[in-house]
Amino acid sequence: MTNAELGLFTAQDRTAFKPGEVLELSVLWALPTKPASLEVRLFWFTRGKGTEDVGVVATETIPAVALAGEAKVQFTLPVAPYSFSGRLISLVWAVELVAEPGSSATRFEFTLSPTGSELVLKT
Amino acid sequence: MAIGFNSSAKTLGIGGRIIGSLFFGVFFLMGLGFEVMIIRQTAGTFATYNWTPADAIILSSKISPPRDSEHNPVLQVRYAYTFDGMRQESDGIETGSGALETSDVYQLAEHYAVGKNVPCWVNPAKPDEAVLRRKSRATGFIVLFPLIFVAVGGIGIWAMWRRRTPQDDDAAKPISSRDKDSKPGRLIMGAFFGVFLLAGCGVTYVLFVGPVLQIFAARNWTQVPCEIVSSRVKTNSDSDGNTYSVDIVYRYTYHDRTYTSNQYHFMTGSSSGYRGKAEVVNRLPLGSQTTCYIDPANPADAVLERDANGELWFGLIPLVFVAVGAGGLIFTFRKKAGDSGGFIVPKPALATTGGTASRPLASGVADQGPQTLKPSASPKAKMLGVILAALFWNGIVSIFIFSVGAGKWDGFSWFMGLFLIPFILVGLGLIGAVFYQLMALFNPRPRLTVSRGVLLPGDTIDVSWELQGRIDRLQGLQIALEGREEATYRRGTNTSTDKEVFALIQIVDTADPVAMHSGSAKLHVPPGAMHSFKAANNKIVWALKVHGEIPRWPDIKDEYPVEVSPKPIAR
Amino acid sequence: MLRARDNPFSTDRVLRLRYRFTTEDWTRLQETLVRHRGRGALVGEKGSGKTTLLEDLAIRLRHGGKDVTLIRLSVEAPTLPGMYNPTFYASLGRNDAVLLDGAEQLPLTRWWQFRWQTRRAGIVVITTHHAGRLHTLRNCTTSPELLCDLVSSLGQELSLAEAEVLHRRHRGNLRDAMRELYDRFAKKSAGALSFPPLRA
Repeated sequence: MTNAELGLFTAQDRTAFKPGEVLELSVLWALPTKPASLEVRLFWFTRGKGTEDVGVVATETIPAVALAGEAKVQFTLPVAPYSFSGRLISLVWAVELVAEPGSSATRFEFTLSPTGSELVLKT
Repeated sequence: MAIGFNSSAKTLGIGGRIIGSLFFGVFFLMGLGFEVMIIRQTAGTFATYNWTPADAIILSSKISPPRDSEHNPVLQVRYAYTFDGMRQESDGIETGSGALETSDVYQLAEHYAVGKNVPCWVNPAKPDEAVLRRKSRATGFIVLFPLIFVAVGGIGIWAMWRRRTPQDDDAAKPISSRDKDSKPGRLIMGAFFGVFLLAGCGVTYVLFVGPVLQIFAARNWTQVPCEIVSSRVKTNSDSDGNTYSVDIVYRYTYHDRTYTSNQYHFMTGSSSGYRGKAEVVNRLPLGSQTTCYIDPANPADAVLERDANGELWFGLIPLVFVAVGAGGLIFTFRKKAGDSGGFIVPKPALATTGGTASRPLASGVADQGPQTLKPSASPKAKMLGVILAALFWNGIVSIFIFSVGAGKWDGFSWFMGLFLIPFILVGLGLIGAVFYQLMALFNPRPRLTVSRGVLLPGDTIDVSWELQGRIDRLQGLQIALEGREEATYRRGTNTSTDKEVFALIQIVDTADPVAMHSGSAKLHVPPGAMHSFKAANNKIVWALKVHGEIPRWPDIKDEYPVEVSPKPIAR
Repeated sequence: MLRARDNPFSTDRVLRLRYRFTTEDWTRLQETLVRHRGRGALVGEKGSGKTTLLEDLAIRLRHGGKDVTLIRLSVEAPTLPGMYNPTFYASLGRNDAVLLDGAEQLPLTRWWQFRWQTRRAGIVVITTHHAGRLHTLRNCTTSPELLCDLVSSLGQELSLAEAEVLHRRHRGNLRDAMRELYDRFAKKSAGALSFPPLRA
C-alpha cells in the first residue's frame, strides 16, 4: 500500500502472518520537508457496530531522517489478539508509517492468526 | 467581535492569563515568604549546635499566670554562667518564637529549680546570649512544607503561559494516533486523589485511630493520686469563632519522682461547647486531689480520663476524604484497561521446556488444574440491586403520591394522579422483581468445576456440576458454552451495547433427576475458536450458561464467565 | 456472513459522515454567534446530528486560529472532568472556544457555574436536547430525505418509503436508524444487493 510519499512493503507482498512470526518491512519515504520524526507503529484496531478501539503494540523510530530514504524494520508479532470478523466486530492488524509534523501516514493491513487467515465468527 | 472561521488572525487571552498569574502568584509569594521565615528560624536552631556548652546555675524560676484564657502560662528563668572568664547572665530558654505548652511550662519549672546546675549553650559571637534547650534538628524538615505552596503557585503560573498544542481532527489522524492512553493525565489525577487519601488517613489517625490505640493501652495503666496545680478552660480563637479545651495541670509522684502533666484525655484538639468543659474544670479546681493513670513503662505519660467520650466519633469525619481519595485512585487507575484502548487477553500458558510439567498436554502447555467457577452475578447481588432500585424509585414516587393524596381532590389532583399511574406501574413492577429475586434465592445453587481453568481452542476439558438445594422441583437442566460479541456504541450522551452470540455449544441437556443433581461431561472447544478479548468498546466473551427449568417458579439462569486463551506459540 | 468491517453502516463509516451544511448555513451560524457574543446552543433530539455539527464547528474554529476545547458529557459521565478546574477557566481568553457536548447533563446550578467560569472565553457553544440555556444557533432536525442522502453517501440505496418507515420508527433518531440498517445489512446473504423489505 503506497502513496506518493510513504510506502510500506513486505517480502513477496505477504499479508498473512502467524503469532510469533517476524514481520519484516521495507519502509520508503520521500517528503517535501525534512520530518521531525518517522515512526513505524504496529497496532490493531476494531471496526463494526461498536466505537473504534485501537491498541498500539510496538513502535520503531527511524533515526536521523532525511527528506527521502529507505529503511528496514521488523516486529516480532505477538500471540494475540487474532484478526477476526463477526457480525458486530472486526479486528484488523496493521502497520502505519507516520511522519510528523503533519501526520502524513500510510498503512499496511495484514492478518494475524494461527491459521493464517482471519477467524470468522459465524452466527 | 470577529469569530473568523477561516481567518488566520491569532490573538492571545492576556487578561485572563494575568489574572490567573496573580492568583497563583499569591500562592507562590506566600509560600516563598513562609519558606524564608522558616529557613531563618531553622537556621537559628541549627546555629545553636555550633554554640559553646557551659555550666549554668539557676538564679530564679517562676511561672507567670496566663494573661487571658487564650494564652498559656509563661516560664521565666534567669541563670548565670561563665564564658571566657567572664560571668554572664541570660534568661533565654530556647531559640525561636512560640509559647511553651502549659505542661511544658510546669515540667520545665521543676527541671529549672532555683540553685540547680544545668547545662547551657553560649553564642560565642555574643556571650550574653545563651539557651538552656536546643530544638531537635528533625524540626528542619518543616522547611519542606511551604514548598508545596511555592510548587502550586509556580506550576499554576507556568500553566497560564505555556503554549497549548492545538488538537487535530480525529478523523484525519493516523489510526495508530487515536490510541487514547493518557498516562500523564492519569498520574495527575492519581496525585490529586492521593493527596486526599494521605490527608484523610493522616487526620483520621490523629483524631481517631491514635486516641483509640491509647485508650486501649491505658486500660493497663497504673492509677496514682495527683494534685491539681492549674485548672482552666482554654479558649482558641480563629476566623470561624471560638473553640474550647480543658487545660488542667496536675502533679503526681511515682517511684519517688515527681512528674507534671496536663493531658486530660486522649482526644486531641478543641471544640465548641463551653459548658461541658467548664463543668470539668469546676469539678477539678486548683489544689484538689484526684487520681490519674500513668504508663508504668513511661511514667511521664499520664492522663486524667482514660475512657472514650462522644467527641471521639468526630474523628471519623476525615474518612470522607479517605473514601474520596481511595475511590478516585481506584477509578483513575482501573480505567487503564478499559478507556485507554488497551485490551485484556488471557495470557497463554507457558510452553514447558523440559518435562517439568506434571501432566503435559498435547500442545505442551502446563496443566493449570481444576477450578470452581464463580457466577457473574450472585443471587444475593441481584437481589440487593433490585431492592435498591425499588426503594429508590418507590421512595420518590411515594412522595408525589402522598402529596397528591393528602390534599383535596380537585381537577389538578386528578390530573396528577393520572400522570403518576405509569410511574406507579413501574414501581409495582420493581416490587414484583424483588419478590421474583427473593423466590430465586431459594433456587438450587449450581456449582460448576472445570478440569482446567484456562481453555484453549481445540481443547477438551471436563465440566462437572453439582446442584445443591431443592432440586426436586427441577424439570430440566441445560448447560452450554456461549461465545458472543459485545459491541458498545458511544455517541452523544448515550451508550448502548449490542450482543451477538456466535457460538453455542451444548454440553448438557437432561431431565434425568440423577444427572441433574450432579454429573460430568466433556466440553470440546472448537479448534478455530476466537479467544476471549476485552477492550473499552468491543469484547469477545465466553461463558458457561446454566439454565434450570422450574415450573411456576423463577428458572435458574446463571452465567459463569470462562477465559479462552490464545494458543501458545509452538517452540 | 457479512463481516463487521465490510458492513457499509459500520461505526467508522457513519462517523465520517459530516453534517449537511452549506456555505450559506455556516455563514448564517457565524453571524448568529457574533450577534450573541459568541454564545449559542445546537438544539435537537437524540440522533439529530448535534454532536457531528459541533465537531465540524470545532474543526472550522481550529482552522480559523481558535484554541478549541471540546468537552463531552454523557449519561455515564455527567460531570465535568477534573482537568477543567480553576486553572483551566482562569486561562481562557478571547481566542478560546469552549464546546460542550451534552450540556443537558449538567444540573442548573452547575450549568450557571459553568457559564460564569467560561465568561472570559470568546466562544461557548453547547449541544442540548431542549432550547433555553443559550440562544439557539441551530435547531437540528432530521427527515427521511436526509436519511436517504446519508445512506447514499455510504454507497447504498434506500427508497424514500423505506426511509419514512425508519424515520418514523426511530422518531427521527438517525443514529438508531443507522444501527438498524447495520443489522439489516448484516443479515443479508452474500451477493444480495437490496435490503429485506422494511415493515412499517
